[in-house]
Amino acid sequence: MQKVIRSERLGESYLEIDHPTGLKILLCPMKGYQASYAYFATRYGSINTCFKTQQDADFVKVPEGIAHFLEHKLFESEEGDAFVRYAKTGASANAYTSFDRTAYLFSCAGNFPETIEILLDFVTHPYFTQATVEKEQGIIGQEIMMMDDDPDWCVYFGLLRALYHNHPVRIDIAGTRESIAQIDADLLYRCYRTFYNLHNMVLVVAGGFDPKDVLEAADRILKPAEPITIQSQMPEEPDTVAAPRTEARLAVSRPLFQIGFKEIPDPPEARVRGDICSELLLELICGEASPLYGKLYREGLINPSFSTEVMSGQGYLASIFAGESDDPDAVAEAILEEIDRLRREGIPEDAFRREKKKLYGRYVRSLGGIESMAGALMMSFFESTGPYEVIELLAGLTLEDVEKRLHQQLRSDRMALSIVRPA
Amino acid sequence: MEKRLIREKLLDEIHFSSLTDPKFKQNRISVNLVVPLRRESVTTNALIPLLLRRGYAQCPDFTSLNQRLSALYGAVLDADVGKAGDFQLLSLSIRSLDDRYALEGESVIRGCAELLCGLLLDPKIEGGRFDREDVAIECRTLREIIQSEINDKRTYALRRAEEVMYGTEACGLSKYGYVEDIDAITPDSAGEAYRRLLHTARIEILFVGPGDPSVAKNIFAGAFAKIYRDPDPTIRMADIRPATALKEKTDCLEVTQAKLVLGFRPKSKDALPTRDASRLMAAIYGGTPISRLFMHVREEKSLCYYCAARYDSGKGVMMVDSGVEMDKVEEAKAAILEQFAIMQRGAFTEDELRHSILALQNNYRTVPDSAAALELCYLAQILEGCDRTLEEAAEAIGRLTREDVVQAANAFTLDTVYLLKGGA
Repeated sequence: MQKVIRSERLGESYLEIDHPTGLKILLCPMKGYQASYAYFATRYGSINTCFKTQQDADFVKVPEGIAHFLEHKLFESEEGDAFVRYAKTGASANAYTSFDRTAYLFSCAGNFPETIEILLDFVTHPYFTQATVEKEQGIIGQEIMMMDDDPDWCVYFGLLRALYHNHPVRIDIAGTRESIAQIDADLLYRCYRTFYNLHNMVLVVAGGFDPKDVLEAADRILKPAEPITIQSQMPEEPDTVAAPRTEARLAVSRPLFQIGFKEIPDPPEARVRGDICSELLLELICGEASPLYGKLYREGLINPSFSTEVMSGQGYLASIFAGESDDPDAVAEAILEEIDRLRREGIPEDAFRREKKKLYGRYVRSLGGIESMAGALMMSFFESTGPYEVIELLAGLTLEDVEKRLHQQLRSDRMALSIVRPA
Repeated sequence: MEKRLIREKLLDEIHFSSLTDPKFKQNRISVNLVVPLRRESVTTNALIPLLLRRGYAQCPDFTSLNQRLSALYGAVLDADVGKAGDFQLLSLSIRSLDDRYALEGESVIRGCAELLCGLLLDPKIEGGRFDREDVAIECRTLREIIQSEINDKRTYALRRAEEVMYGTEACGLSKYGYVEDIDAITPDSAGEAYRRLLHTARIEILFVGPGDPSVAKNIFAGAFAKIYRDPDPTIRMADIRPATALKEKTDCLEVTQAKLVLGFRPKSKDALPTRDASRLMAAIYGGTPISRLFMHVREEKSLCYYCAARYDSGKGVMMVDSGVEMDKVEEAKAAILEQFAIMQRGAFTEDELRHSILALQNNYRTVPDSAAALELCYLAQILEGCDRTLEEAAEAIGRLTREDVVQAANAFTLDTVYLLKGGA
């Protein structure tokens, strides 16, 4: 079944295909582009540590970091390393694992039919032995050590551990050296069979390719998958923060901080809209054009590294302000005061219009690149909101929407402060 | 069909280069001031983009400037400092939505070009001096930028290795300058540095996007015509300098993973390898996931999480950097050098050669699909004095042979060994 999804505003369209194997395929041929960007992704990330399918009697609990480990291992097969196969086409390939997804990707400017075939083939052909699993434990152990030295990573996970008591978003995506030591080939196969079912996956391509090449490769390589219902069990998570404050020491020049607010997650179908409202709200509170940003910058409390972020997924939502400062507590206090002031005085209409234009401009602009278009299409599978719908959501956002959010969120009793100080 | 870059001279040592492609949704404009790297001016120069980013006549303070950017559909304004060979690169750039998508029919492109031009040529200067408070604020920002280089250990180790490798050469200077020189900067000395930059720098303006570049070109041409200029005509890519006696340096920091960097330079000035051959050699050696360093040092021996080689065409050097466990540093170093010896003997396979060529060609052929990559790539080409399309560059790589690669590998020798390790 094939549908054309159009945007009147942009005068563009993409194809949505329900492949007979169960796979969702989203294709966006883009005029004037030579290269193509592809994602083959599964709804499976570091937070899926306890799960069952309709056929399993009980939930299984797996070691932390196994989704990321599996991503590394899939590059190997009996026919050799996937990178070696890609090398024959010249494509640039990679993969990543986040909290809630694993994505395999490539970009190529030629040999597209051969390259898409490699992607579909290696991701659907797992091959693990005890020996290859053990070797990977060494490589990923190195990766974990490297992240231990990364202050941005440490201050971020410090915050997540402070905000969440039990939710697995608090664990490092790669796990720990101890947790990955428990991984074996059987466990990897169990995770693979559950989450790499084509009904749980999406294939996305954007750029200068011919959709026929994708569909032919899919027809040839993919085998129909049994419909699957996956239940991921998330532990009970209180609304309160686990700790209002956490500190660590590393070799940094000045303290790094992240100020996070634990929010009540939106239901999945309202997540994108909720996130956009929150992003706009954070810009209004302390984006570059806000009076507070100018003041804190002038007082030397923040520098250009300051940023805001909204992170969300199954069972978690947080609003984050991050940066470097000699006095992170003063920054947190000023942000809380500004939130209070905006609640009392209301958000100025002109500031709202300006920041809305900013978000709209940046989002539309991003759809002009093959990588970001492919990324937006992939998002639409995970979040059930297409890239063109996001634009319309943005264009239709009202001041009331954002004010409502301001009154529901950013509560001082659900705030945590994570600091990494110089060793 | 690849679009060609059109390069036009506006004034002596001021060029406007544009690449128009209707497929993009954003326009990017950057102004790049190129000046020689000198210890006495590098720090004050680095401050100038930060000061210019504070505001100009039409938007006199930081908040009103940022509000203007938001109103221009979230235009992103970057003030940046870079390094190319022996030169410091001071850049102001802006990118925003093309006029076609504006909600209220306004000309975003004109707004962006005027704003960028205003920031550069009409800054907050009175009586030859920058605003005292702005100078104090941005001196603090610059100090924090320099000090925070230590936070990212991989980049920090590479920069330290370069310092050791270049010694007193200009290209060894830090692009942001030195903390100890910041206190001496005054509103007057910053104003003076700004004027000197405008008078003497080589200026490269780039435009990439779907919009009409002449809108931006005319704004810049008109504004620059009023500026006194006495440009330095010697700003061309520097000579490539050969290796000297082997230098070794170890720094200690609180880290769990050590960083090992090996710097390679040409053996002699008389037998310099070509840029293309050096690029391909570095790719086979350590530039791709099928390279010798990745396959043999990382995958086969699990010695490090990353181990990569990169050729720097601006300085004609090759850097290998890796993240290693402390007790495996010697083993990793031996393995990295063993792979280099294999490159020099030409003991790599036909597949490795062919596939690395394909990977480099794929890189060149992917560039025209990203406005950001186009800007970066063409600015580097302009500075290198190289005038070819990306397809021509891809074809040139395709003509290289095994002999070219072996010759390039033999033209390089180990010059610097740098180690960042834990403990005191």
